[in-house]
Amino acid sequence: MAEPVAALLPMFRSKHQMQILAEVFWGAGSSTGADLARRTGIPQQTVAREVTRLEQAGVVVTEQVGTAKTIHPAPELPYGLVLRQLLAYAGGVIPMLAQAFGDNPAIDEVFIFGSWAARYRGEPGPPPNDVDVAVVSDSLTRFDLAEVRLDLENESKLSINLFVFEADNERLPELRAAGVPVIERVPA
Amino acid sequence: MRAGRPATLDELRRDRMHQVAGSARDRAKAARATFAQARDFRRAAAGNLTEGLVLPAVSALHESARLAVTALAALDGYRFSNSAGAHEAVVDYAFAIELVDRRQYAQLDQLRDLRHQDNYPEDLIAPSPREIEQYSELVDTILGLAEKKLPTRRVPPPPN
Repeated sequence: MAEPVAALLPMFRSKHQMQILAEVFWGAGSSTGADLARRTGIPQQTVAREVTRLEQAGVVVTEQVGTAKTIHPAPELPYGLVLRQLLAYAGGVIPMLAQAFGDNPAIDEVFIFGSWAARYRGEPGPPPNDVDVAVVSDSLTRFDLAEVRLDLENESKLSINLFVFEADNERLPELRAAGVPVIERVPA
Repeated sequence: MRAGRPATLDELRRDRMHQVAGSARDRAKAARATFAQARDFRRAAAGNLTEGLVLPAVSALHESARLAVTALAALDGYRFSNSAGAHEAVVDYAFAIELVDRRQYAQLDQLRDLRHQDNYPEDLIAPSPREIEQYSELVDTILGLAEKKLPTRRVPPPPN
């Protein structure tokens, strides 16, 4: 059965295609098919099929590095900048947040909640104006992360609302249940 | 999608501000009056915190910083347009005139953003005591920096 089209920006062939493009255009450095499959949770065979389609259409290019094949945005794509911008809204914000917060040991968890998360999960409704991001940390505040938020907004042109919660906040389970996970650290 | 920020000084003066007629003396007087209001709001924020009113304190802190920056615009002969995004323009202006550095700019913008999240439940947005302390220190810094840029009032010499 085909994966449903993403409700956020229903112009991609499938949600899988959008997720793969979002990772390729916004994810960290070079990605192999296995990297994309791991980060998106999409079966590797599906990733390979989508990447072949996208390569044939000239949207991505692949490069053989040793035994691995890495996937990149096509450098001369005439609509590359516009596509990247659309992808930020459609799903690229997820790898973008993962990169921005992934190396910070004071952060236990990051997820997106609210209307953006609802659309991403397929719930129909009007396009959200902003992205609500929950950061779980016992030591940081929004004030501490203000520069990161500024960088994220400048890079993505999205309006990002940052919420910082302590790990024992009572609202977390409810927000998390309707959210889209970005970073989940396994306790040591 | 949001526009690129911060806006430059030229962009702000062209698109988000109006020139105000008046002499340098008039401008200095208006600036000092606006700055006095900024101090009033800072005191109001302290009062709010004493009473445990966190979100009103956030609002008063934001207003205090906004008025301090507005005072400098008045000194420069400008006022901010009363239109959507005016508060963003004030924050951008603070950076454009180098009142704040990039980090302080981001922190002031976070305060502005928090002040405008009144459509969220209070328990989601209410800052922690540490966070409110951070905003308070930032606003105190901005008030201090702005005050240094204001001309001091000339006191006439005592009569012989």
